[in-house]
Amino acid sequence: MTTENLWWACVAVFVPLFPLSMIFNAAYAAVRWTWVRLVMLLLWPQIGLWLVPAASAAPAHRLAPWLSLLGLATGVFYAWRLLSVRALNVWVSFWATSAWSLAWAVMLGGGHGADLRIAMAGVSVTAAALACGVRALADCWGEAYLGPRRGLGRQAPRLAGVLVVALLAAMGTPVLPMFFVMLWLVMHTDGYGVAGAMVVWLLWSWSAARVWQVLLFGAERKEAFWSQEAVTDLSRFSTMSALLLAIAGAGAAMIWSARWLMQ
Amino acid sequence: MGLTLLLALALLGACLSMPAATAGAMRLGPLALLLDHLAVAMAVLVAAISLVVHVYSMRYMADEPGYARFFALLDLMTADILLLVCAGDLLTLLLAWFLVGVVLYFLLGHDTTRTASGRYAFWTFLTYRIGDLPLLAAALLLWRGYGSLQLPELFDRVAAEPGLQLAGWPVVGVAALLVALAAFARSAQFPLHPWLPYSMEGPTPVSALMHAGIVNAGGFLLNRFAPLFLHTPAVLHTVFVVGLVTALMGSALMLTQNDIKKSLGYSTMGQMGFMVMECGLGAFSLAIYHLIAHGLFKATLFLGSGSVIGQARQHDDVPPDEVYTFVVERRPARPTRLPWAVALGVTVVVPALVLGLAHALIAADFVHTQGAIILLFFGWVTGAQVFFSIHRLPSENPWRTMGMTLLSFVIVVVGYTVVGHLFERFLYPNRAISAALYAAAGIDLVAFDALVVLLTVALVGAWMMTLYADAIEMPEPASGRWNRVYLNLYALFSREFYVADVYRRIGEGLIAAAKRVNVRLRWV
Repeated sequence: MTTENLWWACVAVFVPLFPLSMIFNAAYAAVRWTWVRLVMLLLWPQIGLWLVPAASAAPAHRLAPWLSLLGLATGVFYAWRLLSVRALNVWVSFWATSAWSLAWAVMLGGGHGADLRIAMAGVSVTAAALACGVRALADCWGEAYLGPRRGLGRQAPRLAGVLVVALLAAMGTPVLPMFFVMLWLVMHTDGYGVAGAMVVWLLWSWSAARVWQVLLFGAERKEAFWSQEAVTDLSRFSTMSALLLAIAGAGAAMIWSARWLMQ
Repeated sequence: MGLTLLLALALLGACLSMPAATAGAMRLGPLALLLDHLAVAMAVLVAAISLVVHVYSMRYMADEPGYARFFALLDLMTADILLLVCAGDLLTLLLAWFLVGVVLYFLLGHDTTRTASGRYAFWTFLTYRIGDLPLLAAALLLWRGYGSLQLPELFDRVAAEPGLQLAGWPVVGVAALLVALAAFARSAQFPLHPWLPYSMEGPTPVSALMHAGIVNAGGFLLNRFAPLFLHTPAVLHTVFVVGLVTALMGSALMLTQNDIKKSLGYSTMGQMGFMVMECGLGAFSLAIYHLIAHGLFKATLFLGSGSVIGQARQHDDVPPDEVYTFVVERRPARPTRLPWAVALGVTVVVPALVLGLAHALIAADFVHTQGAIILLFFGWVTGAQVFFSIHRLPSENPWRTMGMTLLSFVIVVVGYTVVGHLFERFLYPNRAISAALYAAAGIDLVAFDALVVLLTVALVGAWMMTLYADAIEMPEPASGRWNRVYLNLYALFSREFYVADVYRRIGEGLIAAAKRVNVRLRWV
């Protein structure tokens, strides 16, 4: 393997391409501290994008078509795998992998350096918000099982509400950041990129709705051991902070998108 | 909401006082509002229905948990739909279009204690998302091709260069098809319809708002993008076929359901099919009139249902009404019928005469377009069906019953025709555009004649089957060939053509396969 290809392989670890994407997911699952997970989510794709100039000596034009397609395939693959994921920390890492890998469709098409960094930061912030929600769920029920449980909406309405808003953000609901990120991505990629991004978008929506479906609807099973326990809901302060974060994210995304839409 | 309705009415007044082709516009950065006749007419409808739904909900939802949440979502939905109908650029349209599905999900799933309401809200949400993405693709394609997000500017550029191609693909043709797909999903067109009949699990005010307003968004979208369809006859024909299939399926399933709520849902589906079919025939303004008329009718029906149930509970003695006796108790009051020759004449000739005269009086040149002929044909068939049903309904005074039916029919047809033509002048003041839409929807004369014959055969066949179903003795074993065919058809209809089952199997298969792959890859 030449040095240039080695650089591209490094990029493919941080801007995930299957099978190198498994490194991030394994690392994310292995790490137990939430703050380390948040740092990983925020920095991982930025490291990859930072490595791109170093790898740009490689024959990008020769690599572009199949790398771009592999990026899209990775996005679709992880979005599809999300459908059966119940453990929410796995859901976060798969979703982030799926979203980051879409950068390949734009990256090799012609750069867009600064905006691509901002777009990936939008993905990371959304994933970090989800990870914070999962942490709150772990504080509530312990880390043994971090899947959605029926009746959370009635037992801990604020926590369920924050998780649902985070999931809405992840599936690209207007006017939260991911909507504008996806809009930017499809506006700066080719026809295959648009088709791939749309399939990914649909699969995210499907799997996110499957998760909040369990959180919100139905009654807690009486025989379940956790139904006997008192559940601590999210504090008002945390809920308001999450709400403000969502508003700030939406505002920032709108300002960013207004800039490139007006050009 | 009262203020919103007043504002919408004021805008309507302002629109009517301005020259016909002018439209107001407001811009904020890349976002814009367009206040043309279509937008203002839809805004008045949305504000009026929303006001009624709000007033109704104040008492209806008073004892429900989540009262404040319900009204917050209802207000958000109203604001979103108003933004949708007044959107003057593709981005605003997309924002509003995407949000409708999300807000509707939470409105339909208001009662979180019931798993069923969540399940069917989920179906609705997923179908809406399937419809969101084609609109996004269409917007993207138009933006890339014509370099503008602003709708008036975009349509001007499309008119100037309709044959533009990107990578060998016709931009207008593909964009029009994608817009039609988005409209199909939103308006429950076959095969994207199973969410609609099952979405009755939500609160009644939400059902009213959805069936009266939200589900009509497909008709609005087709009208908003009408300048694209001028140049895409093939897409218009596709729209017609999909609308036709949906109308037939919806109407057939409405008649065969034994669940009144599902029956109402399929009735809406059938009406949406007619609405889309009208667009496919080039009668775009008629589709808007249809959706307004249907919206008001369905809202009344849903909002009045509680009162009807309440009255029935208080007074369970059903009045001795011959219609009830025949339809519910399935026994004729007195088997008196008109002579068959008279009945045949009334059934077949009267609707044709009334329809023909009404259109000849209002606009004599109207019948020169194929779309108008098809509409008249359907009007005739529907009218004939009404008279045929009345003839089958035994009455103590069949002449009086037939006379009253005739009077109602004349009022409906003349009213519909007059208002329809006035509406066309209001929405499409430039007669050249509406004429071009009718021309674009036209097909080859031989194909047209063949289509009319095919439709006649299908409809007459359906009548014959109905007669046969009445004639055979169901308790007897299904031994004959026709009995087996009938039973198979019955199974097909009662399982709603297995469409929902197919989707369920596909969904379960995808999830099961994803699970196997995840286990194999150890969840990384």
